[in-house]
Amino acid sequence: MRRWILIILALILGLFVVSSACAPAAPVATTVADFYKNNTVTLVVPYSAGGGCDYTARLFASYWSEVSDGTMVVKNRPGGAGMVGTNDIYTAKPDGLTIGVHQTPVMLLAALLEDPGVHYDPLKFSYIGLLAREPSVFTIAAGLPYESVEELQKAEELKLCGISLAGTVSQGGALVAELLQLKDARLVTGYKGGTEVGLALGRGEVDCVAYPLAGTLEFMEKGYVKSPLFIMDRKVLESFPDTPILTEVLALSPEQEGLFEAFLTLESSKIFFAPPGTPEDRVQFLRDAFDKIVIMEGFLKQAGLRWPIWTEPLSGEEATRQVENAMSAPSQYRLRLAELVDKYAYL
Amino acid sequence: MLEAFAQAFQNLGDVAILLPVIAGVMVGLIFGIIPGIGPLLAVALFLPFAFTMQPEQALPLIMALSTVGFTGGSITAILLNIPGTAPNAATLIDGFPMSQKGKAGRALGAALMSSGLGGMVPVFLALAMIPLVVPMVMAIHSADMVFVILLGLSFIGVLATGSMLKGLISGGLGLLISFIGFQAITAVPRFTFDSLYLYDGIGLIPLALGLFALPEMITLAAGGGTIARTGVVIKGMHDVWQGVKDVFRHWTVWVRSTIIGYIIGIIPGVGAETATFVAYGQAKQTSKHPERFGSGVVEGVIASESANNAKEAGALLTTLALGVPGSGIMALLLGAIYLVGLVPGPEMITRHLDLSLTLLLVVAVSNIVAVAICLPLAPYLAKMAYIPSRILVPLVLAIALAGVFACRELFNDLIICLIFCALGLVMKRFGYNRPALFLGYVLGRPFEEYFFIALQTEGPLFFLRPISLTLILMIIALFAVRPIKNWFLRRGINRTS
Repeated sequence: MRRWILIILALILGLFVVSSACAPAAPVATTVADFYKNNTVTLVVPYSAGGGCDYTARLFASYWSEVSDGTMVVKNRPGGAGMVGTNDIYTAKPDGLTIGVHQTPVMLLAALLEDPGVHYDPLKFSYIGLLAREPSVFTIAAGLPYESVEELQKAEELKLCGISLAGTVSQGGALVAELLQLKDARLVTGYKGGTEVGLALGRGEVDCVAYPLAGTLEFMEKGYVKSPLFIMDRKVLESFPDTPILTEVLALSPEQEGLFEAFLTLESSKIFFAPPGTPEDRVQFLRDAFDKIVIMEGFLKQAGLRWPIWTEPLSGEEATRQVENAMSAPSQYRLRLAELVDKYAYL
Repeated sequence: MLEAFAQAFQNLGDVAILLPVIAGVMVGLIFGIIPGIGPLLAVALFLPFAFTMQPEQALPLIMALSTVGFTGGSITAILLNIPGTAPNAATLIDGFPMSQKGKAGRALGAALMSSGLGGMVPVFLALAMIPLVVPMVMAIHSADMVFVILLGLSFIGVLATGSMLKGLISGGLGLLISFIGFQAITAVPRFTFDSLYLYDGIGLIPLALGLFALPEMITLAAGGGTIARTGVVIKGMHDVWQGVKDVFRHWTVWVRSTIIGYIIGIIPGVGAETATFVAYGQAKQTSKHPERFGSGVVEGVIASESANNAKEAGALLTTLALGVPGSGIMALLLGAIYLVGLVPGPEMITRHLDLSLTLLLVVAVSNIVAVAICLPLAPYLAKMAYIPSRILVPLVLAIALAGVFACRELFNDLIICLIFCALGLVMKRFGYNRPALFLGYVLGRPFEEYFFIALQTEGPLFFLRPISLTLILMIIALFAVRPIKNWFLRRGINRTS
């Protein structure tokens, strides 16, 4: 009896093997569209879950299926202020299935400052697109009496708010202090992010800040700061038509212009990119998908909650040019910006 | 306000909301129990689904997931010396020795009841505090935060069960370890040896599991037997009820710890661990028998567990009212609020007050459900202390190390975990204080950050602010209360004799 059972089992197994071998092979992806329909894309966020980059990634990934019929998963790879995740994307298999999103200035500044932790070259990534662009605006804490640049210039010992010593918020603060020749102004660094900066302004710990627009609007809504004193950009903002740009309130010398331009190349935004060597047709598919997603009604509605003033996203080609501009800014101005931070910082 | 209240109760009565809450409680408990995988990961994993749900369903589910994670974490802290979540580290100081004495059921009963009540009652306190929370948070400057954290750090001395010197050395070592990593204020990487892995400092999970869980398991494997001493009779539910009654017996400890947890929860940036250690420290300082703390007294468990869950109601209030997250989980909740199409901040306590009240009520309901699930299971869970080491040790080691890796998927985390296991074994062998090291490690970084900011914003005399001075007085009182009490006691004895 046992022998018969064994024979029957062997037959079943044999049939299974034969039927598996004869079964038609899995469909081979013939076009890029098929490739993305049949494979899962991993979108790497080089920060922990919950922040601005993570929000951008999850929002983008939720619309991916609508343009590709495929799946996109978000993977958080935090560490080293975004360097760990970015290094990983740089060395990932360039098959178009691993892409990343990062804060543009953080990614570029780390490379520009030649941080030993940077093992990537920003000029070699394939850029898919750039969104959530925000210029920095200069604002004063709500409790202070200053209403104009002239009044500010008369004030003494103003405390400008910064985050990390090497970050763009600190650079913006130091640049304003230098350009406006603020008397005995000091840069307070060490705040962890927007939440802490807002509270510091609201509590009166610091007096003013050069901060990206969306965060500033949130500070205004909570009553922490006044309406912006000036915009640190080349164009007047449509939403603040009466607020001047920096060059309208102050005539800049060529040296100061160079400094200001170097600062502007590191405008706050979120950039999507693929590892170097990703096939051209897949990069193009990713770029087209990006262009379609960022104009979807639902996407814009949800993005508008985080960025109430939404600026036109940049295409992959435009994002590449923006990175090239930032990386090619004269090094003497980069160095000077870092020196200014050192000059005004307490520590 | 009353309309919003009525709406909140109505929301909670809705099956479409209540069912996700119950599901969230169950998943949250499981995530809390598995070492290394805390409620933070549970919430992060759930976030993608938040898109597809209504705000009235998604947010309560997230709240339930996160609230009870700490309750689940207390179970492994008591039974296996594994802090399921970081704030549970204060629970194991007395919880695990209770298990070793064969009182695991009693410890579990006390932990579950105190955390359940500690999470539920402050919700009503939170409702009353809604108008006060904004002025309170705005009044506390970075300079004051230095002393809030210093208050927590000063408990290093209190935690010392044996030699005070060894306690201070352990705490100092913890502070040193906390300074590893990139220092943002000066933009200098410290003790990183050019390793990118060390830029963010030593990870909390590998450190906690390496320091507490692994040495215990190795000792158990070497010695054989079970966690609980042999010969102790298991009394099942009777033991658990004893623990439940202990909470009411020591109600003053519970009340003080809940208030401490709640207030520290409101203050953003202090950290959940501060709440549990401060609560534990005050319970020890005000106890009639402080020398018994650390050897397995139930008040230690009650103090840390009630503060642990109470802080969630406080942190939720700050997150909703100010859009300022009080903890990592609250940062995720903040993200989820955006994802479901709402904007956190003052509007949440004006225009969306009903939803905010619903979330606060969810905290209360989740705690009730968690206690209802866990209490009947407690006698069975307590039997874990009687599993032979040859079965328990490999199982726990595998789960703990898998948890360490799963947290960030970094192989280096496993190496760090083993290094701290070796350190933990040495400290255990020579009587050094591991909780003191943990406290120093957890609070070292925020202390340094706020200290530098305070110096920059207020100058060298930053401690002259009224709130700072009050906190300094509290720190002095903390250490003076016992000698003064003893002095009066001695004086009384002398007079009678």
